[in-house]
Amino acid sequence: MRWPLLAGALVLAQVPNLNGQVSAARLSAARSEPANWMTYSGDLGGQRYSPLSKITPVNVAGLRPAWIYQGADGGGMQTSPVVVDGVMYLTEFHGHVVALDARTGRVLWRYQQQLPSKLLTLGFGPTNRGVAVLDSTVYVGSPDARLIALDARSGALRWEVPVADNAAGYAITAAPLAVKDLIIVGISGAEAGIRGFLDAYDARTGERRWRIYTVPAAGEPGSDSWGGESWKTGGGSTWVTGSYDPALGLIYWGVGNPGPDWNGDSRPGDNLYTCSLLAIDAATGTLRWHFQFTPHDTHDWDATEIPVLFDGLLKGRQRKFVAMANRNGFYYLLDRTTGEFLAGEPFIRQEWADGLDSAGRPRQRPNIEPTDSGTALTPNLHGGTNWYSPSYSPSAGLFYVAARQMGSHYYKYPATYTPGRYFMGGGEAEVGGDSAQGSVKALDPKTGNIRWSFPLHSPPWAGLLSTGGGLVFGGTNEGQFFALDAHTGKPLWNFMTGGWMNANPISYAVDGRQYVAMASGPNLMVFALARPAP
Amino acid sequence: MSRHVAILIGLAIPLASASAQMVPTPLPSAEDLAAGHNLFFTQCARCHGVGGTGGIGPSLTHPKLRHAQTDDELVGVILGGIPGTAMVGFWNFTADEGRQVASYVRSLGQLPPERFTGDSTRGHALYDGRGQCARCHITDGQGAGWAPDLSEVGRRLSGALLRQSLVDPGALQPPSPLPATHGPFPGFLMIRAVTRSGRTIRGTRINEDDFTIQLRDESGRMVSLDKGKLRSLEKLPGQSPMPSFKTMFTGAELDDVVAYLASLKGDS
Repeated sequence: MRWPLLAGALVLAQVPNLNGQVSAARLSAARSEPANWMTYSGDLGGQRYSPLSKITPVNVAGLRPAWIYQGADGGGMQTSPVVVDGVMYLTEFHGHVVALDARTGRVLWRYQQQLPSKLLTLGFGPTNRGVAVLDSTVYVGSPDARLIALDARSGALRWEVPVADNAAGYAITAAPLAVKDLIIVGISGAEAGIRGFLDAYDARTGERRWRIYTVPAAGEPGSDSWGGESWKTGGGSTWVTGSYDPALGLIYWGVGNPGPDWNGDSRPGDNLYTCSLLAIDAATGTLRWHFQFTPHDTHDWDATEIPVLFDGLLKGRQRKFVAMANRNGFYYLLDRTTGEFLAGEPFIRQEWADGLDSAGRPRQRPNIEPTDSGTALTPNLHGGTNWYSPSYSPSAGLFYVAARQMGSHYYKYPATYTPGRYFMGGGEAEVGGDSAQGSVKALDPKTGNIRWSFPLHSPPWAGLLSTGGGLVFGGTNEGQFFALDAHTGKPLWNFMTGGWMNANPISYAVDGRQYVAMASGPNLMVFALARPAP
Repeated sequence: MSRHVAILIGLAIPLASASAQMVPTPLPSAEDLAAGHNLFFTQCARCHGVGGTGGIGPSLTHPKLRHAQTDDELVGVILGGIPGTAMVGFWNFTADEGRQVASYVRSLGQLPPERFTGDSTRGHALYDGRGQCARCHITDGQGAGWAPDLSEVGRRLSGALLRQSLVDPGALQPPSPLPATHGPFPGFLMIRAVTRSGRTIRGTRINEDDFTIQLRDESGRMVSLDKGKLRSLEKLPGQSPMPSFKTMFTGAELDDVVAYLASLKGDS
């Protein structure tokens, strides 16, 4: 009987160092643990920056595949892995969850989503972009709009709760965000005429603590920005993970397009709070402030890009910033305490606005609305950037965005609401081929001015990672995973993965060795420097 | 949100067999056509163009569609996609909606067939003989694959475009058959590359990415180049390695070749 006791003691002794207690305090100080990547964006501030510095412009040419995880679901992987103490948690297409040995790629457990045969994901696929980890639990959304809590050590189901009705078009694709003892969950579905919201659930029990609607009901503040009953089908999804400032206690979350997408006739007004950034009191779920990027949007320019938090001096005054490179083609800098607009500049060649006024409202050009015969306009509905992440490097002092340069013809037609069906009111015809291009742009984070630009062969669908080693990593549609010099944009290394890269890169370390990981097609690729010969 | 995710594995719906159905298909109702049009507008026109006239996806204004000979097959393609291409399955359409879109797409192909004044047999002889077209093009497996495969060109191009491609070959940019996330790209774009050592390479583009480009050079060989190791890389839209037949053929002979090309529908 001595052996089992001894084994038990050994295991218990190791628990805190294995996939054990990811406290809220650890998450708030995530960047003080550079070996780990504990949240969707690597830290609660949405920076997607790794302080790891073993891989540098000097040695990056020696980067090699360390291991590959071939997804059991053949669908495209858009996940952003989370790594805690040597264990990687990622999601596959359909939201299946896998825990891997982050050093070798060996599977530790896999959770298979149980999905109904009739699954509605209108306007997007049953994709999934990642998990949240808090204490010893892994949280994931499902394409049929449930929130699921799994034991981090075994993948066993702890609980699941319905978030919304999939039959009405609600779905979950975003990674949840762990905030103190809450799990924050955003939803998708604005192409089906849903009324959007953001939810907070008790991390331990799954009980809903608060819900904030992104479209105010009749009589509520902001409701005068809608006509008639249009708020009931007003869209405003919350389909990309937001950020959190523990000191201010505020959650920053982007809101998507109004419904119907391309026909704004039934919804006269600005259509608050679609295409806006919300600052929400984490404790109560009440709105502290909002900033609308695209009033009365008719081009599907969701503001569901990553709110990036950083601090600095502006005109002699220390400020807490939130920045967003928006789908409408402009970069915005706001004061994240008050929502005050500080700066904004286009980061692509766009055709819809003559800049922004002093409050950050666009000076819209005439005749940009979709029409029966089509309106030519840049950017196309996928915007100047999209859901995939930008990166902010505190060491280089630059904001990086993978930018899309592509035009479109926007069309409009009548929209009729039927629950669980498309409610879009038009369409678009893209201008593709060689005229559609992309770039990685490095912006001055305080002005939006472009410092350097690295051209991409086609408009990208992959996010960026910057590192303390002075590199920016990204991926191309054609399949290359690449590294640029963070200061100059010079290409230093690339590897053809053979799959469409439509995900976000991360970096982590195990046993002192730095890894860089990014999904490609249905697989996850992990790279490290070649080990010197023994 | 409107972000279609290509699922090319696992969701493809088995295509219905092309077994003969003796019961004639009932004509679609005006309501079905209108509903199909509306769905096409929001979901399909982005790639196939408004009215199915083509855009980053192929034109659908043909009586016969390559991947969908029957109505059932067309519904299957709409709901299940075409594996290996950019055509994704619209699994969110109900079966009824798939049928409505199919009705609308079928209606696009019901245009009066084009009449050609030339003689297709004489055109075939000119193609094989004086035109020496098979030195570069393939039809029905015969010829050389340096230039676009013409086995089905009669489905893709109207008589006017066929004639234009003969007299001004650079005016058309035949799309690459390779899938791309941003839609078909010109597959035979003329390229002039100069290496660091000063060697000039001319050819047509096969494929390209951020860091590399693949060409067919003037001898028809594949050449792979690293963009970062080139002195210059020029793209020459409007140019073509194909000679103009404007003066090589008489007007009547051009009519004959057009009639022959228009007859190539991949049926043999």
